[in-house]
Amino acid sequence: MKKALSVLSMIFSALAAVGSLTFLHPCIHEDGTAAACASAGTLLMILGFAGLAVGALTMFVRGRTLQILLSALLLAVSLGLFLIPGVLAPLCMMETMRCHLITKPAARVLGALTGCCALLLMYLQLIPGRKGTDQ
Amino acid sequence: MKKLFLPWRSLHHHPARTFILALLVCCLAFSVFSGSVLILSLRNGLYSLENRMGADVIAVPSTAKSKTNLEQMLLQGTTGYFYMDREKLDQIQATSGVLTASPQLFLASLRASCCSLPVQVIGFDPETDFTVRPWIAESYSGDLALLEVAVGSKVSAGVGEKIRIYENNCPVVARLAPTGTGLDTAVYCSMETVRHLLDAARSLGHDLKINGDPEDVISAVYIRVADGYDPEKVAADISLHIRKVDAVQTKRMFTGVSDSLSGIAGTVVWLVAAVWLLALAILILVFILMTRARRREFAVLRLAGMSRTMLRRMVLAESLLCSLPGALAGVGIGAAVLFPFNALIESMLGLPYLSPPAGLVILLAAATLLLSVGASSLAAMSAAARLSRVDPGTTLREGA
Repeated sequence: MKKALSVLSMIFSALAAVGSLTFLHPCIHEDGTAAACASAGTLLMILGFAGLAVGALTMFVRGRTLQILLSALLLAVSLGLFLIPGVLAPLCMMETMRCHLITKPAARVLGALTGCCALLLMYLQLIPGRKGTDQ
Repeated sequence: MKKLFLPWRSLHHHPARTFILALLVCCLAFSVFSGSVLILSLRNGLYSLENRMGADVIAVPSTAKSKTNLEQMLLQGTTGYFYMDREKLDQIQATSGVLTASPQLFLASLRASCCSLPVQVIGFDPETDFTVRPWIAESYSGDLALLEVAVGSKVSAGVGEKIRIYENNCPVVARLAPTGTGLDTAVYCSMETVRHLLDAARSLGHDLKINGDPEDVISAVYIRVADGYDPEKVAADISLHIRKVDAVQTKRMFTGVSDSLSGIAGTVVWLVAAVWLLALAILILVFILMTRARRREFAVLRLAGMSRTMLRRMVLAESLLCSLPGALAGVGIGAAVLFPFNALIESMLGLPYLSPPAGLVILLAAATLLLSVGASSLAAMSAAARLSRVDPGTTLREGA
């Protein structure tokens, strides 16, 4: 169960990181200048890779306290993914633009899914009788 | 909890079977929930457009049809501008059957301050307007002063912020309620403000193709027809008697949208029905095969003292335990796809699209859960009823 959750959180984070450069990329001006939402794309990529690294660590690190800390870190990353578009980083003014249509909702969904995985991972560590590793 | 122990253990020991059952119910719930929300959103969008328009007839210069399709402008937010002399308004007002006529002036900005898409600027006459003012009144009670604007719900500028149009900083005084149409992407202001922006655009060297004095032009006239007159006839009269003016009956414009909507809604209903029937048939088949494969297990349980009712209850509990999470997942996936991506769905469909209110969505989700779990339970019960009629002794002697 724990390994499956770690793998799922890694997949969601990887989708955010790779997606910000490919299918989830924010707006690009025709003249090549940076759009207002460019910083949202960069932050999404950074946090996506951070989530991927933390998710990988939760698979290999042993020890209950460390596992709980990593889950909390993953939760913070997921919160960041959720809040980047529109809250932590500005988006373009028209809600008919790509950053509003694709980047923002996709980041929110991926952030929420990663957050669910992080919460479940934390729950598995906190409930009595769990030792922090797959039995 | 003790009653659920046996069904839980049974599901736990057959993860593949449990997963397939849950997946089937998930597909059922997803198709019903997302199909219903999609149809409701489209109907909501059309209703909102009809409500918001308020005019029976819209008159535009005859060049408008070739330049920009008015329907596209209203539904999809495509920007455009076209102009005619103000004297056309007097001629329209003098047409028999016209109760109220209010002019509007359009301008398409080339680039708003922070984004590469142009913004449609719509100027209205506060004295005569009956379409935009009631809408603005829902969020702002004052009058729009020079350069003050009200923005549609899809323009990401809050009240107090400024949007820059043709080198002019325009303070946002109101954000309008969403309509699910192209009207949400426009910026609304007084006629004076649009004329000021027109001057600014011309001084920046933009050719707006205005023939004559820019102070004396309008783009469209919104008309309310007097009781007892046929809007179609009034529109025809205006088109026939006023030179270079085309009048469109708004209801006719909506008929096209309504037809497209009916087509999409019909396809969705058929698809949902097909998925439902297929999934229900598979569910019944799976339960029949599953109970057949477990005949010996059930026979042993019957010989151990389990009554027919208890056996049926156990099968029902198994079905509930795997169909409820499946149905929840189906509704959850539907919500995760439809609500965050509603703007994308709207732009892909090119039709008015407005999500139903939260209360209705919750009701719809509850009904979908009930329907999906109910269908699964029905399939399980029919299989269990067939099995409970079989004599356990015979089953064990057969050695099947």
